[in-house]
Amino acid sequence: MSMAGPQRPTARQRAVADRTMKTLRRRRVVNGIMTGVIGLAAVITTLPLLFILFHLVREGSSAVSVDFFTRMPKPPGEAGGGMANAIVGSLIIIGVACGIGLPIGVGAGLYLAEFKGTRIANAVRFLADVLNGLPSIVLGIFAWQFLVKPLGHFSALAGGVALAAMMIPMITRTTEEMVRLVPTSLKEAAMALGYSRARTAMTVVLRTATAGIVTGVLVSVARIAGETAPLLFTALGNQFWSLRLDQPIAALPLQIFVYSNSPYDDWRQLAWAGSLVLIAVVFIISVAARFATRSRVGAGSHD
Amino acid sequence: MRTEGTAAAVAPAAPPARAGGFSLAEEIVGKAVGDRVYIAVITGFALMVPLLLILIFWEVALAGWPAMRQFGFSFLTSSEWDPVRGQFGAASAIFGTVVTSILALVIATPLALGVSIFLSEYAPRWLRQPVAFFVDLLAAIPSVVYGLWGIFVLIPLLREHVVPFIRDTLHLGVLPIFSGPSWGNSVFAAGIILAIMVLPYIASVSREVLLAVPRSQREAAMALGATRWETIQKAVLPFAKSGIIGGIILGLGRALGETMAVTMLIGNKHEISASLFAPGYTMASLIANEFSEASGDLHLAALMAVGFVLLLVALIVNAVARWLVWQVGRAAAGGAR
Amino acid sequence: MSAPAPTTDRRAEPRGRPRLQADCLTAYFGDNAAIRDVSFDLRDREVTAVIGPSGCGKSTFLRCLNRLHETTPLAHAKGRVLLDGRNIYARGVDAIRVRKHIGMVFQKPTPFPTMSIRDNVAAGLKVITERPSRSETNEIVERALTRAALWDEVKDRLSANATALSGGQQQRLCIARALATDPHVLLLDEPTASLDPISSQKVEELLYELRKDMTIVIVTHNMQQAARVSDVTGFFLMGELVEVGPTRTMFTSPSDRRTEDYITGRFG
Repeated sequence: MSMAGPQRPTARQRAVADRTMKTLRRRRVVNGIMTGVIGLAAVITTLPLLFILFHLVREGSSAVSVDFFTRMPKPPGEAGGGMANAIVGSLIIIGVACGIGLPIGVGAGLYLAEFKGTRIANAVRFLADVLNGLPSIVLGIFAWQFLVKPLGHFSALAGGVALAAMMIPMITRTTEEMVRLVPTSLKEAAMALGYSRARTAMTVVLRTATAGIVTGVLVSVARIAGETAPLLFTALGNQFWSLRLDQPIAALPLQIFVYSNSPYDDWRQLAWAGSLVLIAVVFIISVAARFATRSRVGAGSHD
Repeated sequence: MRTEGTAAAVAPAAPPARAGGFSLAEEIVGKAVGDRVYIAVITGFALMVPLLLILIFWEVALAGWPAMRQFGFSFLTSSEWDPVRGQFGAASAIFGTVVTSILALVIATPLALGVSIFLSEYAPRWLRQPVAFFVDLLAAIPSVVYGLWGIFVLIPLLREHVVPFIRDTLHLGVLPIFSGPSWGNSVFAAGIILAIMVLPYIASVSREVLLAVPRSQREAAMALGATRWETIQKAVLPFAKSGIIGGIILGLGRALGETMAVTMLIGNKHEISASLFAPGYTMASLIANEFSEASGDLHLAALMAVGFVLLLVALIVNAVARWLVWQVGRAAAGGAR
Repeated sequence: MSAPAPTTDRRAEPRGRPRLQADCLTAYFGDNAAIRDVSFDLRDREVTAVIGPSGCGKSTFLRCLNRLHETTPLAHAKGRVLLDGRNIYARGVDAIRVRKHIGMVFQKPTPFPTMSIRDNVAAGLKVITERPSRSETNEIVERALTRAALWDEVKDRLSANATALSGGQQQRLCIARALATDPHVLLLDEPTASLDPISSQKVEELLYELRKDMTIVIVTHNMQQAARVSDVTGFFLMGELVEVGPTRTMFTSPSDRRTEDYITGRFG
């Protein structure tokens, strides 16, 4: 082996170097293309939300006013109506749904946390997940068959039941998670004082988990507030002002649906305005919930 | 090992009363009734979950039974839907459901994967949370708002720009899939809006799964001289594969059940057409659209039977999706170190 | 400023009567015995320290004394534990009621985070048979906080949330909470393990004062602390109670070779 400094490359070495360079160039090109594609996909993904928000604001903001919240819809051709009955109706239906869904959801969530690991608990958790994935229109059919058909009339109550069926699995899961976050040491401290399991759960565990549970409830409210399909054949909708649980009742998403299919400009503008208000409420709750859980989790945990 | 004195030898002296006013001798015997009640109550509430599921299944089946009994299996295969003559077959709705869902997945999956890969592999850390949240917000938009936007923004856009582009500029109008008259409301429009609605679900699961791939995998590949893309392709994606598939199936489950946006955009016609630009029906939109004007009990029962089919399909798809995602969770916890 | 004396005058009782007695106690997690056949007398007006290396079962032993051990899933215990001569593991005995008679302080301070300082201290009063009135409760709270040497630091902010206190203060709050029901027995599971040296010292001084009125059992992995604070020491090793004796003897001339090895640091 000669040690006389750098040798000139042989023909063979030159060929190998060439091939490597060509392959490297190709790999780099592929890398560049894929990076571009991925970046493009990311950009495209952000567009729909921006577009939707843009149009909502452009079409709907002019109709959002005090009148919108306080007035009843006017006949087509007359300007200045509002969606007060729909807003109130939505609140009533959501109230009914919470009244049914909250106790069951929180109770079931407590059960899952107390009996974590048992077969019944695992089965209940799985079935709650299954329930969560059911199409909302199917829940509407259920409520129709269960309440509307036997009683002979559409009702706010039936709408509330359909929405409660949507809420229950969501609240069950978040309650379970929040209760499990309560450290065992707290429960033991309560038990060491002679607290029964019931008292430990009520006064220590639930109270500590309250903030998280409330956040979970708000998130599920945001979800059901925008649901239309389950209300199509339960609450049905109502042109007039009604607060009764046993009669059809208006709801914001239902009204938006009806108005968006109508040929009248006034009503269509109300549809945009209603959508804007609905999205604003849903987004605010979502953001607030994100913020709340992040500041709680962020304090103690690390990625 | 014992210390001085045995237990038996010490005579229990009567313990003195305490500030709390109760003495040991009487107090420690007894059973806590309150706990029994508490456990009974929460067990009761917990059992309402499976009960509700069974009840839903039962009631929907009951509602659709008259039609299912009358038409039997042909309900699924016949596309004849004639309320006047009392003939009902759900095939066109099933077809529409399948087509719109597949179209939605075909469009949404690459986009969702793209943004998730971007977030987990390319984006700086501070960008992750906000962009992820931004994408997740898409899931918070109510279906009816998507429908509204679809009617007044998307459909005109498709009609005036996209369809002519595909048909004339790209000369793809000769393909049956792009042929035929197009009035705006179409399977195509429904598929696109479904894609937007389903995107956040796929993206969210994919993102989680990608972020869970251990750093060591990427570092090993890069140490061998792989480019960024090669690292992703060969070291990261294989790990995340089943989770991503689970996410896609989750998205499928969502797409199957979407009602409002679809019913507002799809044209609501009982039609099985090869063209994407033709109107059609999905199971969910059929029920929503015809319910209020259903003529007669059989018609109603037929709609409910469609609902039952939808229920079954959704159940199966969601169970598969959950199982896949659960599998990935176990693998990540157990093996991926 | 001095708190009213407890209504029972225990100084009149003979010193050294065993108040808690473990008799052939074996505790299991599932099928594994964490402690085996432990017989141990814990005497009144004494601080008994329980020492041993990690995992030797000393905490498990402590938690058997107030039947807290069985609250862990799949955990159970066999044998007897006599509280003032009554077997708390006897059939028909309700563990929840047993725990009302025994106070416990844990390694990490565990104030109830949604409650004020005052409500934390008064928490145990909610489950005793004769619930005190509001004014009585305030007196009891003051007395307990004084005994725990925390009164002066918090007397002006009793309604403040308990989590506003420092670690050492929170631990003394937990001690006050345990003392509020005037228990005969106080169990402490490594109470200063998460505290700074100054707070630890305050707690140790506290225990020295409290011993005059009750039976104190303290689990500690800190041998110097055991030497400082206790009258009697028990040494656990791998689930077995190896040796028990007066603290001074245990640390200067223990009988068992294993005790000596542990104390001299041959293993830890």
